[in-house]
Amino acid sequence: MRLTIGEVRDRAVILDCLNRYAQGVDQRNWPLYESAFTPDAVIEVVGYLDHEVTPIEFREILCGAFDVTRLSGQHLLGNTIFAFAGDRAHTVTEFMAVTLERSGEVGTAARQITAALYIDDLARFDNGWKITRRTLVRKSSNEDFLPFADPFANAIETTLKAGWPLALQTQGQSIDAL
Amino acid sequence: MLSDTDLIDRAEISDALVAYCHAQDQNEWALYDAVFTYDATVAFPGMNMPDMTAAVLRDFLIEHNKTRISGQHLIGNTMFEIDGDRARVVSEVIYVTLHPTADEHVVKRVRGNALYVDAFVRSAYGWRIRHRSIAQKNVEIDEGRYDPALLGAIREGAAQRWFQTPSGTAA
Repeated sequence: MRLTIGEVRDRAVILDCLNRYAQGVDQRNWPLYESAFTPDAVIEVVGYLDHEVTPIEFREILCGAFDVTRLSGQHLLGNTIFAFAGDRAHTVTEFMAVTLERSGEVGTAARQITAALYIDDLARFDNGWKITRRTLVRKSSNEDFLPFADPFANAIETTLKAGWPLALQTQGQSIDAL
Repeated sequence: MLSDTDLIDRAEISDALVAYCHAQDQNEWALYDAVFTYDATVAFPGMNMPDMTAAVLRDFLIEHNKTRISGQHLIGNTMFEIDGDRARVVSEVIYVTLHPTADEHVVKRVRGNALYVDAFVRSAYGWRIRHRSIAQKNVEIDEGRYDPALLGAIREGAAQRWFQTPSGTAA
């Protein structure tokens, strides 16, 4: 059956929501991350967490486990498939995550490339679509070690410490201030 | 300026592109039926593989996946040229697949980049691929040791069906 322009708009708003999560995690912009979820949302990570957690609890896991050594992260999303029933939606999205961490050795960084799925239930609210339930399923995860030295080390450290435009927007500032 | 019709056409074409990937990556073969015309063909230029119909490729992939641990074909950068009821669509794809080896703790990894070059037609069922060329850009094949717990989680995830309607019914 032919899509309607309303469904195309719904898809765009849902993709915004999924991107807010990824940008929030990757740029450690937690208001942006939280804006992707309903307050009572749950997150399940198959084979990693032995129970479901809230977005706030998951944020604490991410910060606690990874931020000590974390240098960068990128969760690139794609292949989203949508199913709608009124004000509810079910989506399945592939992602490839590339993360870089300090290793135990000076001048070396650990790189992890992970392929995985996000399976999401979403609900429509006045201010857009939000995730009510997320399941994360890993497909592969490969680690190797890279030289971590100038000039790239400086660029990566700069990125790690910098704030980016989305941070201003989520703090209520105008993009005109950039 | 794109019209509403242009946006709907792009979304429907994207649905077919994505359905192909999810079909082979999640073994959701019903999705595969929403990708190609009944007489569609697939070519693998420069590779040691003959052109084949989409139906033959489907059977090949089903057989191939019986031993595969996991797979991801992530597409992006799609360009659309739509002319009435025909379209030429070019997408980049980055892929990674895991396969078992004789050692249960070691997997074979196939990682690569390619292009999908597609000729679409608008059929009675929506946009469908009539001809696909899969053009390889690079392929890397190696083996790596995997933690048994991670491998178990990957197998557990691969065994689930993730495509549902919002009411919980398998799509």
